[in-house]
Amino acid sequence: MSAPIPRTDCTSISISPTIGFGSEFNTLKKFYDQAISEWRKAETLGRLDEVLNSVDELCRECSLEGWDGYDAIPIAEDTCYEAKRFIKSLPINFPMPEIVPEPNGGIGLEWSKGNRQVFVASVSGKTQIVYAGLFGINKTHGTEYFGDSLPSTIIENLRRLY
Amino acid sequence: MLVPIATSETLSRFILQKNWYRPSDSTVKYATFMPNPNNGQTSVFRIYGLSDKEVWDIGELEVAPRLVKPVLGRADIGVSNVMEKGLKILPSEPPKRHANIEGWPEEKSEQTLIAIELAAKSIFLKR
Repeated sequence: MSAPIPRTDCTSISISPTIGFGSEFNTLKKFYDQAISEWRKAETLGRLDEVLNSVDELCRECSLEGWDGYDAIPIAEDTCYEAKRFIKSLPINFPMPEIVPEPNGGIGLEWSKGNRQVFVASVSGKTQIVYAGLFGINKTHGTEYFGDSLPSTIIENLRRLY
Repeated sequence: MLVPIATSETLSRFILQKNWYRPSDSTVKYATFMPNPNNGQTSVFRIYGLSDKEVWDIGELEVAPRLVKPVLGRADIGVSNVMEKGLKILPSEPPKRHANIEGWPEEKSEQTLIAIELAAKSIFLKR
């Protein structure tokens, strides 16, 4: 599995529909949106595809009981789907996670910036995200409902790393 | 007779999953230490008094045969590191030198946090 590749911080790349008006604004906005779209394709989608393919590969490898050499539960299709949904929901300014199969049949999405700087969000096809993070001497853990978008708690914890 | 666990001992957890360690910096990922979902235990081996080769032999003879996969590495961790997380280590033979890390909390997020901390304290050795 390849390591996460930090993307350029682009949190400032945003546009508000209320900051201008008129035809020139609309032309500029269209140009801006197109430029951002092309940039995202070049910088992100390649890596996104790579990670999504890793999930598929992992799900094939871990489809049988005991895939870890011990008594691991097979990773179910629902879990794979949910892991991919999580990854696709990630804001662009965060790096892609490493994909970690868990003995309980879950898929962990792990971001690591060295020793004691780790955040893990885990899914298991139950529309919930189990998370845990180690940020130096600070720690956190909990569970969040995974609805249409990523819970703010997950985003806030990722911001502690990036 | 089972030898009681000493806090100065080191335990080895054999790794057969390529996604459970980072080749880039030779560190271990948390899933290595997550408990078995069927019994809530993490299987380890006690390696006091063994040479490096003898430790690898345990992995080859006792762990690898259960899956047609080679041992890729192992995570070594001190008993004291495990106990300070409120977990227990109980000898469970056969096989010889086998033990289980027990006493994991019920909540999965808490298990994950402890596993992250154990991974951070462990040393990865590639086969």
